[in-house]
Amino acid sequence: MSPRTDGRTATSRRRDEDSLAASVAAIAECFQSVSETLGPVIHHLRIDGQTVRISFAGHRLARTLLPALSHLGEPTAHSPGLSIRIWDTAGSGIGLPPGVVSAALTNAGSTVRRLQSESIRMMIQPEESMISLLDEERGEALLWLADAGNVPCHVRCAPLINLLQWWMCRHDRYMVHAGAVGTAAGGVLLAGKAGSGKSSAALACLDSGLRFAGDDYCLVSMNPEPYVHSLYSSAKLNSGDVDNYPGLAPALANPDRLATEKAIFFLGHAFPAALTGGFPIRAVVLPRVTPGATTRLQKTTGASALLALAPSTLFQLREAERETFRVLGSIIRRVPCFHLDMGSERTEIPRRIRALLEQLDHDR
Amino acid sequence: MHLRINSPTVIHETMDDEVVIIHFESGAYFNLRQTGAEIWNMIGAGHSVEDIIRFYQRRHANNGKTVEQAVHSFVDSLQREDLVVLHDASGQIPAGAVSDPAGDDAGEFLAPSLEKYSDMQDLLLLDPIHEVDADGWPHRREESDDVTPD
Repeated sequence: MSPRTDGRTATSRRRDEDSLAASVAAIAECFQSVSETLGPVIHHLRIDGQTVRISFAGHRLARTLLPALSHLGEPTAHSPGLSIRIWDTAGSGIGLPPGVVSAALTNAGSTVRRLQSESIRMMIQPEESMISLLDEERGEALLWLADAGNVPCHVRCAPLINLLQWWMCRHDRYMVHAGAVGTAAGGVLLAGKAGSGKSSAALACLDSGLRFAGDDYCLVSMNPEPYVHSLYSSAKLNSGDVDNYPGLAPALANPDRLATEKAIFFLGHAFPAALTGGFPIRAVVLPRVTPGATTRLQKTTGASALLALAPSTLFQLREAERETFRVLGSIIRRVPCFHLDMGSERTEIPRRIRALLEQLDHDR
Repeated sequence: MHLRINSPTVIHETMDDEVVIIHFESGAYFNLRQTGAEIWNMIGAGHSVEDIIRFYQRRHANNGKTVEQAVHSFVDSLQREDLVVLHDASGQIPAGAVSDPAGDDAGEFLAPSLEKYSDMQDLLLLDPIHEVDADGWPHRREESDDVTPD
């Protein structure tokens, strides 16, 4: 799949690389100019031992993109492994400079485009009016948005997802389409396609003593044991389900937009004690909504878990697919897998998961 | 007839007695159980289709014709889905007969089947990965004179 091994000419590859690098440099200059005008807003995140420095050109961008990452904030910054610079045209009045990147955006139409050269990765998302760029060798990234005031809810819930995924793959941390809840001693990965009930299950555990590591995307690793690392403290629910979670009202970020968006919750400020940076994975749990009141766990096969976890991860996130598939297989071979049949009695969800974790801990 | 798993387009993981297969170009993914998973792993180990048929005919002595038809039908479905491709094994050391720890006549033959899932295909087909060029998007391979013969 990688275009890096295609039959293109060495000369044309070098030319393309140079033109892309020149375009990226021009964008970086734009950021510098915008940032000096609006005032840079610097934040540091700590993700599984890696420091990420984020420079926003203006406070509005920071207010839009930081809430989902606030639980990873690092007051005393270490030397960053990755530096991300973010700016938008609406807030600065300055558009993308001409060059390969702006041409790529123009030519992309309405379709998501992923482009990569020898050292630079780029993702163009026309519907989100957003471009992500990473220079892997230099550990420098740029994120451009058309308008920080008009960012879709899936971007606010999972900001910088492409940049962080690209970068963390270099450190053997792989993004998965899964939620996770547990304690410092261990927890469960919640796997399933969109709509399977990952968010419902994760949010039902919030005030139960089980801590929240994510409802949609997390990082996983296998060194030395299966481990999940929290990336986002956001959660989404269908707006019709909001009334089933009245305790979450302090974290509801978009009460005025529930007619057109999913309900977004930023848990970092409202429920800081309910969050965790990660834990060892003790089981993979596949939520599914079932009729009736009863909530129960039923043992299932590793293949069922891999079918629930891998395709939606690999085809959505499209990065390091082979390595991610191998790591997911390794995790699933190491831990038991269960269906979580979720009846209407949602308070049973944390109780069942806690009982499972206690049993697994006892069996170890 | 020798086949090989269509790597790297196809990736697969064996989980106990099942196999999960993902085809990157079509966006389809698959599950094999029992006999299907066994046959998949025999193909991966380099056994010919004829060896595989003989193995099941030995193991299920009363189902010779059924076995042959079922294995051929299953292998055809793997080829149709581009999960395996024909392989010239003439230069290789033969994998030899398939050994059977269960011994002969292991009871009723369970016909292999291929479970296919297509619900992720839209995600893939809308989102290809390409290389940039000086004109932005899309890149088309050049037929120019500076092609390096690699």
